[in-house]
Amino acid sequence: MRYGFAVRIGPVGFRVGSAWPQPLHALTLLYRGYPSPCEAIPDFTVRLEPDGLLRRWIRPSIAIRGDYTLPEAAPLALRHGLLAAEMGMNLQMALGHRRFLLLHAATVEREGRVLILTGESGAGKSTLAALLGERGWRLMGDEFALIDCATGLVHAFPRAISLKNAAVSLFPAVEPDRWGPVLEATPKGTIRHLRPRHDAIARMDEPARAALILFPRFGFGETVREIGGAEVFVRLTQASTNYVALGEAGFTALTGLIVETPARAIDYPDGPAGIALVERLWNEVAR
Amino acid sequence: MSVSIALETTYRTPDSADFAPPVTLDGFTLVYHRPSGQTHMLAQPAPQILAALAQGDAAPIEIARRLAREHGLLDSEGDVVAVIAARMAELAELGIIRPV
Repeated sequence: MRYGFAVRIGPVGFRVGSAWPQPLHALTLLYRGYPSPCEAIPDFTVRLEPDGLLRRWIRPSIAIRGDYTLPEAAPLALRHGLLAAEMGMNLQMALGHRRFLLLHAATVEREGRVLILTGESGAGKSTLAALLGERGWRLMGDEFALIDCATGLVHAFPRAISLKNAAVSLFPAVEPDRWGPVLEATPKGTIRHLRPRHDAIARMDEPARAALILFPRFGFGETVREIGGAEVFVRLTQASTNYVALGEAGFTALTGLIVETPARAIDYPDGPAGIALVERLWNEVAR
Repeated sequence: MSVSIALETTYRTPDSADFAPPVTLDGFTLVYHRPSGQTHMLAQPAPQILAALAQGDAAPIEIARRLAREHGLLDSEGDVVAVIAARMAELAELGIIRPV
Protein backbone atom coordinates (compact mmCIF):
# COMPACT_ATOMS: atom_id res chain seq x y z
CA MET A 1 0.00 0.00 0.00
CA ARG A 2 1.14 3.52 -0.67
CA TYR A 3 0.64 4.83 2.88
CA GLY A 4 0.99 2.92 6.15
CA PHE A 5 0.36 3.28 9.88
CA ALA A 6 0.95 0.85 12.74
CA VAL A 7 -0.38 0.91 16.29
CA ARG A 8 -0.83 -1.34 19.28
CA ILE A 9 -4.10 -1.16 21.17
CA GLY A 10 -3.87 -3.24 24.33
CA PRO A 11 -2.48 -6.65 23.34
CA VAL A 12 -3.33 -6.33 19.64
CA GLY A 13 -1.05 -4.89 16.96
CA PHE A 14 -2.54 -3.40 13.79
CA ARG A 15 -1.09 -2.26 10.51
CA VAL A 16 -3.32 -0.04 8.39
CA GLY A 17 -2.43 0.52 4.75
CA SER A 18 -4.18 3.07 2.59
CA ALA A 19 -4.25 4.23 -1.00
CA TRP A 20 -4.80 7.80 0.27
CA PRO A 21 -2.94 9.77 2.95
CA GLN A 22 -6.00 11.44 4.54
CA PRO A 23 -7.39 8.52 6.58
CA LEU A 24 -3.96 7.77 8.03
CA HIS A 25 -3.36 11.41 8.89
CA ALA A 26 -6.52 11.37 11.01
CA LEU A 27 -5.54 8.02 12.58
CA THR A 28 -2.06 9.29 13.44
CA LEU A 29 -3.49 12.30 15.26
CA LEU A 30 -6.08 10.24 17.12
CA TYR A 31 -3.58 7.56 18.19
CA ARG A 32 -0.55 9.71 18.96
CA GLY A 33 1.20 8.42 22.07
CA TYR A 34 -0.04 4.85 21.55
CA PRO A 35 2.71 2.22 21.38
CA SER A 36 3.85 0.44 18.24
CA PRO A 37 3.07 -3.25 17.73
CA CYS A 38 5.29 -5.44 19.91
CA GLU A 39 6.53 -7.57 17.06
CA ALA A 40 7.59 -6.87 13.53
CA ILE A 41 4.48 -8.63 12.23
CA PRO A 42 1.26 -7.09 13.60
CA ASP A 43 -1.69 -9.30 14.50
CA PHE A 44 -3.93 -7.81 11.83
CA THR A 45 -3.67 -5.81 8.65
CA VAL A 46 -6.37 -3.47 7.36
CA ARG A 47 -6.22 -2.12 3.83
CA LEU A 48 -8.19 0.88 2.61
CA GLU A 49 -8.37 0.46 -1.14
CA PRO A 50 -10.22 2.13 -4.00
CA ASP A 51 -13.53 0.41 -4.60
CA GLY A 52 -12.84 -0.11 -8.30
CA LEU A 53 -10.28 0.99 -10.86
CA LEU A 54 -10.96 4.75 -10.96
CA ARG A 55 -12.25 5.22 -7.43
CA ARG A 56 -8.87 6.41 -6.19
CA TRP A 57 -9.48 9.69 -8.03
CA ILE A 58 -13.07 10.00 -9.22
CA ARG A 59 -15.60 10.26 -6.38
CA PRO A 60 -13.09 8.33 -4.30
CA SER A 61 -14.64 5.55 -2.26
CA ILE A 62 -12.99 3.18 0.15
CA ALA A 63 -13.36 -0.56 0.24
CA ILE A 64 -12.38 -2.01 3.62
CA ARG A 65 -10.12 -5.00 3.10
CA GLY A 66 -7.66 -6.86 5.27
CA ASP A 67 -6.84 -10.25 6.68
CA TYR A 68 -10.58 -10.75 7.19
CA THR A 69 -13.19 -9.21 4.93
CA LEU A 70 -16.96 -9.05 4.78
CA PRO A 71 -17.81 -9.41 1.09
CA GLU A 72 -21.07 -7.49 1.38
CA ALA A 73 -19.59 -4.48 3.22
CA ALA A 74 -20.58 -1.24 1.48
CA PRO A 75 -17.75 1.13 0.51
CA LEU A 76 -17.37 4.44 2.35
CA ALA A 77 -16.64 7.91 1.02
CA LEU A 78 -13.04 9.11 1.34
CA ARG A 79 -14.15 11.82 3.78
CA HIS A 80 -15.20 8.96 6.10
CA GLY A 81 -11.77 7.34 5.84
CA LEU A 82 -11.16 7.41 9.58
CA LEU A 83 -14.41 5.51 10.14
CA ALA A 84 -13.35 3.01 7.46
CA ALA A 85 -10.07 2.39 9.28
CA GLU A 86 -11.84 1.95 12.64
CA MET A 87 -14.43 -0.37 11.12
CA GLY A 88 -11.65 -2.35 9.46
CA MET A 89 -9.82 -2.77 12.77
CA ASN A 90 -13.03 -3.85 14.53
CA LEU A 91 -13.77 -6.29 11.73
CA GLN A 92 -10.38 -7.97 12.07
CA MET A 93 -10.96 -8.38 15.80
CA ALA A 94 -14.51 -9.69 15.40
CA LEU A 95 -13.67 -12.19 12.68
CA GLY A 96 -10.12 -13.16 13.45
CA HIS A 97 -9.18 -12.76 17.08
CA ARG A 98 -8.55 -16.02 18.96
CA ARG A 99 -6.29 -15.19 21.89
CA PHE A 100 -9.02 -13.86 24.17
CA LEU A 101 -12.73 -14.45 24.53
CA LEU A 102 -14.19 -11.34 22.92
CA LEU A 103 -17.38 -9.75 24.15
CA HIS A 104 -18.97 -6.87 22.32
CA ALA A 105 -18.86 -4.64 25.37
CA ALA A 106 -17.44 -1.48 26.88
CA THR A 107 -15.27 -1.81 29.98
CA VAL A 108 -14.11 0.61 32.68
CA GLU A 109 -12.01 -0.05 35.75
CA ARG A 110 -11.75 1.38 39.24
CA GLU A 111 -9.52 0.16 42.05
CA GLY A 112 -8.55 -2.96 40.16
CA ARG A 113 -12.11 -4.06 39.40
CA VAL A 114 -13.87 -3.95 36.04
CA LEU A 115 -17.38 -2.96 35.08
CA ILE A 116 -18.54 -4.64 31.86
CA LEU A 117 -21.28 -2.84 29.90
CA THR A 118 -22.74 -4.90 27.13
CA GLY A 119 -25.76 -4.72 24.87
CA GLU A 120 -26.84 -4.12 21.33
CA SER A 121 -25.72 -1.14 19.27
CA GLY A 122 -27.51 1.98 20.47
CA ALA A 123 -27.85 0.70 24.05
CA GLY A 124 -25.49 3.48 25.11
CA LYS A 125 -22.56 1.42 26.35
CA SER A 126 -19.94 3.51 24.52
CA THR A 127 -21.41 6.74 25.81
CA LEU A 128 -21.74 5.48 29.38
CA ALA A 129 -18.18 4.14 29.36
CA ALA A 130 -16.86 7.40 27.92
CA LEU A 131 -18.73 9.43 30.56
CA LEU A 132 -17.33 7.20 33.32
CA GLY A 133 -13.88 7.53 31.75
CA GLU A 134 -14.09 11.29 32.35
CA ARG A 135 -15.21 10.79 35.98
CA GLY A 136 -12.45 8.90 37.73
CA TRP A 137 -12.76 5.53 36.02
CA ARG A 138 -10.12 4.11 33.71
CA LEU A 139 -11.60 3.47 30.29
CA MET A 140 -10.51 0.02 29.13
CA GLY A 141 -12.45 -0.03 25.89
CA ASP A 142 -15.73 0.91 24.22
CA GLU A 143 -15.99 -1.94 21.73
CA PHE A 144 -14.55 -5.22 22.99
CA ALA A 145 -13.95 -6.77 26.40
CA LEU A 146 -11.03 -9.18 26.12
CA ILE A 147 -11.37 -12.07 28.58
CA ASP A 148 -8.22 -14.08 29.22
CA CYS A 149 -9.26 -17.74 28.97
CA ALA A 150 -6.52 -18.87 31.36
CA THR A 151 -6.87 -16.29 34.14
CA GLY A 152 -10.37 -14.87 33.60
CA LEU A 153 -8.92 -11.36 33.78
CA VAL A 154 -10.28 -8.60 31.56
CA HIS A 155 -7.71 -6.97 29.27
CA ALA A 156 -8.00 -3.45 27.93
CA PHE A 157 -8.56 -2.53 24.30
CA PRO A 158 -8.75 1.27 24.60
CA ARG A 159 -9.21 2.38 21.02
CA ALA A 160 -10.65 5.80 20.29
CA ILE A 161 -14.27 5.97 21.43
CA SER A 162 -16.82 6.23 18.67
CA LEU A 163 -19.51 8.70 19.77
CA LYS A 164 -22.63 9.08 17.72
CA ASN A 165 -24.96 12.00 17.11
CA ALA A 166 -26.13 13.76 20.29
CA ALA A 167 -23.68 11.87 22.53
CA VAL A 168 -20.89 14.21 21.41
CA SER A 169 -22.54 17.13 23.22
CA LEU A 170 -22.27 15.30 26.57
CA PHE A 171 -18.54 16.06 26.73
CA PRO A 172 -18.21 19.87 26.79
CA ALA A 173 -15.14 19.84 29.08
CA VAL A 174 -12.98 17.52 26.99
CA GLU A 175 -9.73 19.04 25.71
CA PRO A 176 -10.19 19.97 22.01
CA ASP A 177 -7.10 18.04 20.93
CA ARG A 178 -8.68 14.75 22.03
CA TRP A 179 -11.39 14.93 19.37
CA GLY A 180 -11.15 13.45 15.90
CA PRO A 181 -12.81 15.16 12.93
CA VAL A 182 -16.60 15.40 12.74
CA LEU A 183 -17.76 12.72 10.32
CA GLU A 184 -21.17 13.77 9.04
CA ALA A 185 -23.76 11.69 7.18
CA THR A 186 -22.03 8.36 7.75
CA PRO A 187 -24.14 5.18 7.60
CA LYS A 188 -24.29 5.45 11.42
CA GLY A 189 -25.18 9.16 11.49
CA THR A 190 -22.77 11.83 12.70
CA ILE A 191 -19.72 10.31 14.37
CA ARG A 192 -16.85 11.83 16.28
CA HIS A 193 -14.00 9.85 17.80
CA LEU A 194 -12.73 10.71 21.26
CA ARG A 195 -9.22 9.89 22.37
CA PRO A 196 -9.26 8.19 25.78
CA ARG A 197 -7.62 10.04 28.66
CA HIS A 198 -3.90 9.67 29.18
CA ASP A 199 -4.19 7.11 31.99
CA ALA A 200 -6.30 4.79 29.80
CA ILE A 201 -3.51 4.72 27.21
CA ALA A 202 -0.62 4.58 29.70
CA ARG A 203 -2.21 1.66 31.60
CA MET A 204 -3.52 -0.33 28.62
CA ASP A 205 -1.37 -3.33 29.58
CA GLU A 206 -2.92 -3.67 33.06
CA PRO A 207 -5.65 -6.32 33.17
CA ALA A 208 -8.14 -6.50 36.05
CA ARG A 209 -10.88 -8.79 37.29
CA ALA A 210 -14.54 -8.34 36.46
CA ALA A 211 -16.75 -7.15 39.32
CA LEU A 212 -20.09 -6.30 37.68
CA ILE A 213 -21.83 -6.94 34.35
CA LEU A 214 -24.50 -4.47 33.27
CA PHE A 215 -26.84 -4.68 30.28
CA PRO A 216 -27.81 -1.03 29.79
CA ARG A 217 -30.65 0.30 27.66
CA PHE A 218 -30.73 4.01 26.90
CA GLY A 219 -33.90 6.08 26.58
CA PHE A 220 -36.25 4.34 29.02
CA GLY A 221 -37.45 5.14 32.54
CA GLU A 222 -35.02 4.03 35.20
CA THR A 223 -35.32 0.35 36.13
CA VAL A 224 -32.99 -2.31 37.48
CA ARG A 225 -33.65 -6.01 36.87
CA GLU A 226 -31.74 -8.87 38.37
CA ILE A 227 -30.99 -11.49 35.74
CA GLY A 228 -30.16 -15.12 36.29
CA GLY A 229 -26.97 -16.82 35.17
CA ALA A 230 -28.65 -18.77 32.37
CA GLU A 231 -30.00 -15.58 30.77
CA VAL A 232 -26.63 -13.88 31.21
CA PHE A 233 -25.01 -16.84 29.48
CA VAL A 234 -27.35 -16.61 26.50
CA ARG A 235 -26.90 -12.85 26.21
CA LEU A 236 -23.12 -13.05 26.45
CA THR A 237 -22.81 -15.81 23.86
CA GLN A 238 -24.77 -13.50 21.57
CA ALA A 239 -22.43 -10.64 22.50
CA SER A 240 -19.33 -12.70 21.82
CA THR A 241 -17.77 -12.70 18.39
CA ASN A 242 -15.63 -15.78 18.94
CA TYR A 243 -17.29 -17.97 21.60
CA VAL A 244 -17.90 -20.82 19.15
CA ALA A 245 -14.45 -20.56 17.57
CA LEU A 246 -12.71 -20.84 20.94
CA GLY A 247 -14.38 -24.15 21.78
CA GLU A 248 -13.96 -25.44 25.32
CA ALA A 249 -11.62 -22.60 26.32
CA GLY A 250 -14.44 -20.17 25.55
CA PHE A 251 -16.97 -22.25 27.50
CA THR A 252 -14.72 -22.36 30.56
CA ALA A 253 -13.89 -18.65 30.40
CA LEU A 254 -17.46 -17.51 29.87
CA THR A 255 -19.08 -19.71 32.51
CA GLY A 256 -16.30 -18.78 34.95
CA LEU A 257 -17.00 -15.09 34.34
CA ILE A 258 -20.73 -15.56 34.89
CA VAL A 259 -20.38 -17.63 38.06
CA GLU A 260 -18.03 -15.04 39.58
CA THR A 261 -19.72 -11.82 38.48
CA PRO A 262 -23.11 -10.36 39.44
CA ALA A 263 -25.22 -9.01 36.58
CA ARG A 264 -28.10 -6.56 36.19
CA ALA A 265 -30.15 -5.21 33.28
CA ILE A 266 -30.68 -1.48 33.60
CA ASP A 267 -32.77 1.09 31.76
CA TYR A 268 -31.86 4.76 32.03
CA PRO A 269 -33.36 7.91 30.51
CA ASP A 270 -30.21 10.01 29.98
CA GLY A 271 -26.49 10.24 30.64
CA PRO A 272 -26.53 11.77 34.15
CA ALA A 273 -29.17 9.26 35.34
CA GLY A 274 -27.15 6.44 33.81
CA ILE A 275 -23.99 7.53 35.62
CA ALA A 276 -25.81 7.82 38.95
CA LEU A 277 -27.37 4.38 38.50
CA VAL A 278 -24.04 2.77 37.59
CA GLU A 279 -22.35 4.32 40.63
CA ARG A 280 -25.16 3.11 42.92
CA LEU A 281 -25.05 -0.45 41.59
CA TRP A 282 -21.26 -0.45 41.75
CA ASN A 283 -21.45 0.32 45.45
CA GLU A 284 -24.33 -2.07 46.20
CA VAL A 285 -23.80 -5.06 43.92
CA ALA A 286 -20.25 -5.21 42.51
CA ARG A 287 -18.11 -7.99 43.92
CA MET B 1 -39.42 -41.70 16.32
CA SER B 2 -42.52 -42.88 18.15
CA VAL B 3 -42.52 -43.04 21.92
CA SER B 4 -43.26 -46.79 21.88
CA ILE B 5 -39.97 -47.43 20.08
CA ALA B 6 -38.03 -44.99 22.24
CA LEU B 7 -39.27 -46.73 25.38
CA GLU B 8 -37.41 -49.86 24.42
CA THR B 9 -34.27 -48.25 23.10
CA THR B 10 -31.22 -48.86 25.20
CA TYR B 11 -28.81 -45.96 25.26
CA ARG B 12 -25.10 -46.15 25.66
CA THR B 13 -23.34 -44.70 28.66
CA PRO B 14 -21.90 -41.34 27.58
CA ASP B 15 -18.12 -41.20 27.65
CA SER B 16 -17.30 -38.75 30.42
CA ALA B 17 -14.30 -37.55 28.41
CA ASP B 18 -16.80 -36.23 25.86
CA PHE B 19 -17.91 -33.49 28.25
CA ALA B 20 -16.26 -30.56 29.96
CA PRO B 21 -17.20 -30.33 33.65
CA PRO B 22 -20.85 -29.18 33.63
CA VAL B 23 -21.78 -25.78 35.04
CA THR B 24 -25.07 -25.16 36.79
CA LEU B 25 -26.53 -21.68 36.37
CA ASP B 26 -29.85 -20.61 37.68
CA GLY B 27 -31.46 -24.07 37.51
CA PHE B 28 -30.00 -24.89 34.10
CA THR B 29 -27.02 -27.15 33.48
CA LEU B 30 -24.58 -26.07 30.79
CA VAL B 31 -22.86 -28.94 29.07
CA TYR B 32 -19.99 -28.51 26.63
CA HIS B 33 -19.90 -31.49 24.29
CA ARG B 34 -16.33 -31.89 23.09
CA PRO B 35 -16.91 -34.04 19.96
CA SER B 36 -19.39 -31.55 18.45
CA GLY B 37 -18.01 -28.37 20.04
CA GLN B 38 -21.55 -27.44 21.00
CA THR B 39 -22.80 -26.03 24.27
CA HIS B 40 -26.14 -27.37 25.45
CA MET B 41 -28.32 -25.71 28.03
CA LEU B 42 -30.17 -28.51 29.76
CA ALA B 43 -33.21 -28.16 31.97
CA GLN B 44 -34.36 -30.85 34.41
CA PRO B 45 -34.57 -33.79 34.08
CA ALA B 46 -31.94 -34.01 31.29
CA PRO B 47 -28.87 -33.54 33.56
CA GLN B 48 -30.25 -36.14 35.98
CA ILE B 49 -30.84 -38.55 33.10
CA LEU B 50 -27.24 -38.12 31.95
CA ALA B 51 -25.97 -38.77 35.47
CA ALA B 52 -28.15 -41.88 35.78
CA LEU B 53 -27.04 -43.16 32.38
CA ALA B 54 -23.42 -42.71 33.40
CA GLN B 55 -23.93 -45.74 35.72
CA GLY B 56 -24.32 -48.03 32.71
CA ASP B 57 -26.17 -48.60 29.44
CA ALA B 58 -29.91 -48.47 30.04
CA ALA B 59 -33.37 -48.05 28.53
CA PRO B 60 -35.74 -45.33 29.78
CA ILE B 61 -37.49 -47.64 32.23
CA GLU B 62 -34.20 -48.50 33.92
CA ILE B 63 -33.25 -44.81 34.03
CA ALA B 64 -36.58 -44.12 35.72
CA ARG B 65 -35.77 -46.78 38.34
CA ARG B 66 -32.34 -45.29 38.97
CA LEU B 67 -33.81 -41.79 39.31
CA ALA B 68 -36.48 -43.10 41.68
CA ARG B 69 -33.83 -44.79 43.78
CA GLU B 70 -31.55 -41.74 43.96
CA HIS B 71 -34.00 -38.89 44.18
CA GLY B 72 -37.03 -40.60 45.66
CA LEU B 73 -39.22 -38.33 43.59
CA LEU B 74 -40.11 -40.47 40.63
CA ASP B 75 -41.60 -43.86 40.09
CA SER B 76 -41.08 -46.03 37.09
CA GLU B 77 -44.68 -46.00 35.92
CA GLY B 78 -46.46 -44.65 32.90
CA ASP B 79 -45.98 -40.95 32.21
CA VAL B 80 -42.64 -40.68 33.95
CA VAL B 81 -41.06 -43.31 31.72
CA ALA B 82 -42.60 -41.68 28.64
CA VAL B 83 -41.18 -38.30 29.63
CA ILE B 84 -37.75 -39.81 30.23
CA ALA B 85 -37.93 -41.66 26.90
CA ALA B 86 -38.81 -38.43 25.10
CA ARG B 87 -35.93 -36.55 26.76
CA MET B 88 -33.51 -39.38 25.95
CA ALA B 89 -34.63 -39.36 22.33
CA GLU B 90 -33.92 -35.61 22.23
CA LEU B 91 -30.49 -36.09 23.82
CA ALA B 92 -29.74 -38.77 21.23
CA GLU B 93 -30.84 -36.44 18.43
CA LEU B 94 -28.38 -33.85 19.73
CA GLY B 95 -25.61 -36.48 19.69
CA ILE B 96 -25.12 -36.28 23.46
CA ILE B 97 -26.08 -39.94 23.98
CA ARG B 98 -26.35 -42.80 21.50
CA PRO B 99 -28.61 -45.77 21.09
CA VAL B 100 -26.81 -49.06 21.53
